Amino acid sequence: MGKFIIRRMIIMVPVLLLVSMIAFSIILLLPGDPALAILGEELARDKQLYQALRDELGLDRPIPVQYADWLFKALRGNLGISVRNRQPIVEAIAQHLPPTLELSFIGMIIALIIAVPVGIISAVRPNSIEDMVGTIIAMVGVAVPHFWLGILFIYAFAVYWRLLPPSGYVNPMDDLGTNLKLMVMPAFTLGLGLGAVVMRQIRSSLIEVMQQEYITTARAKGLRENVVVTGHALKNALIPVVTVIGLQVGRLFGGAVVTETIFSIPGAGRLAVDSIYFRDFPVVQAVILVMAVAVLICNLAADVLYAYIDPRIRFG
Amino acid sequence: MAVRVEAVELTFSEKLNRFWVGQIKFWQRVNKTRLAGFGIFTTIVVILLAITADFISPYDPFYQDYSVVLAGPSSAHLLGVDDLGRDILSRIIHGSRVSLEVGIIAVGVGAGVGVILGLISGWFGGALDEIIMRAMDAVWSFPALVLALAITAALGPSIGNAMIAIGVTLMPYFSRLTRGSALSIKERDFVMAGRVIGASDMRMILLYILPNALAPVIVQASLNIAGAILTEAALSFLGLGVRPPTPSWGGMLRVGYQYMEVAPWLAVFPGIAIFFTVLGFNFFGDGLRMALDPRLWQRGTA
Repeated sequence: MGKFIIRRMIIMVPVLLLVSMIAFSIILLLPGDPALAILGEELARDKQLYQALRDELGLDRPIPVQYADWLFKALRGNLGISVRNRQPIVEAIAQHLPPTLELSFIGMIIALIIAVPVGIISAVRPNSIEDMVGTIIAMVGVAVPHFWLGILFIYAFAVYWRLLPPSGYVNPMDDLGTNLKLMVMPAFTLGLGLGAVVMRQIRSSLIEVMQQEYITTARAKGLRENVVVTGHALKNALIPVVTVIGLQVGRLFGGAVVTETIFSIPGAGRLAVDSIYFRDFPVVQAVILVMAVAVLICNLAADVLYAYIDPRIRFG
Repeated sequence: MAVRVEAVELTFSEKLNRFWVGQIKFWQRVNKTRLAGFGIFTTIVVILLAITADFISPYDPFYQDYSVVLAGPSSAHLLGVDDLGRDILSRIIHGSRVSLEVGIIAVGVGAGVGVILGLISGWFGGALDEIIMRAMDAVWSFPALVLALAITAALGPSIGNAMIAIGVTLMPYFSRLTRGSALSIKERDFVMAGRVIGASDMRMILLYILPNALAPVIVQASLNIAGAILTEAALSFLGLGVRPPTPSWGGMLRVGYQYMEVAPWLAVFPGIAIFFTVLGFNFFGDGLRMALDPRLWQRGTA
């Protein structure tokens, strides 16, 4: 097992390096002089400010040197300083990460609560009415733009029925009740699309498992169908689901960007969008780097978990 | 193995006839798969809307009538009026153009570059393969929407840059898919035959590998159009895609969000348009996939 994890981590190194190159090159895409593009015409007239930013970004040096410098600082936990408010970027990200993690976590739980039962029912009776309904729910979940769903939720539950507060964020340490009330709508907004994807995965992998011979054996022993499904089939059917969930982390972060914007949650996605509005590109670089690294780590975790549950992978 | 000579002796009209029978059978199979018919219908409707937008929309999508600002749905304005007095139905009809354009061109960019990279990767193998595939893994690690946002923001918000940005995020799908096909096609006998007669790498890739690797690419493309339309809507919603006053569904939702309490119809109808278009392309793609892969079709799993 240890060997497997080490091998898997070694494979990750070149990908991490390439990820850092992509994140860094965002600033190279800026048309013309990055310092001018970040400050805008107005502020750039202030020669002192302009030169200070050029020095800070090291724009007078060749691009590979700029990249290497940025990378080595990042490795030592220094992602630079925000152009907008002079805050160290690491600190800004650390502040904005907890709401995103909370949102993603609750969203994931909602997704599973929807996906597992519906997926099982669909798989047990493929091509039945129940399955049709399940498939339609999944297709709808995938096709609904979640920012639209969020807006509809706000209109229905906050404006029309006045059941929930429309938007905002409270630290769960200060007031857990209010925090959860505020999280209900964003978490559903984020969770439905994810639930649809996971549901389809559960359905197809469970159908596949149900056709295997050990299931026939279990039935032949005279076990009741629900024991066969939950006790025998589901265990194996959930293995590929783990991977799919691991792969959906990127989708969660992407969804969090829009969801946090709609519900005014001060999370990492919101930080990315705000930095883009303020042309604070050092922060943009750092946020997308952190998100990509987080996605890679979650994929690694899913792989390791997968290998742990299914020994065939480890020794394969 | 029996040698089939009949194919050589077919006349042109017979060939054409066979082609059409094949086509019709194929589309019947697409249609037979559940919900694909709905997908085809919706896709055709959206394409027709985009083509005929100038003739069928009741008003000019840019015309501002200040006497009816934020008016609700009525017989004069079926879906209501927006904050600048523009007819929402007309703007939704015209908005289909942006969605389709971005969807199709972004997927074209992603598929074009992705397929080329996948072919090179699969055909040459070795270090080149390793570099290309690791680069694709890296692109894949970024949340698509976040990467698209960052690229569009850096290049400057515009519809063209949104297409490029979304295309970049789609490249890994196509390169992985094509590489996989290329690897398996490479082992087949006719490829060996091509090598024996001394065909160049270029010729092998374009005439032997590519045609046989296209079917899954087409399925992937139709599914990715749906995703690209959603991403474009999200970009425009965040104010980084299509610039106003050009009508786009995401942009209309952005305005609708601001007027939600007084005029909910501003946000409801563009969302429905996005929803049905994306749903249509998804069903269409699923139907294509099942028609092209009979195993899936018979078992009913997908």
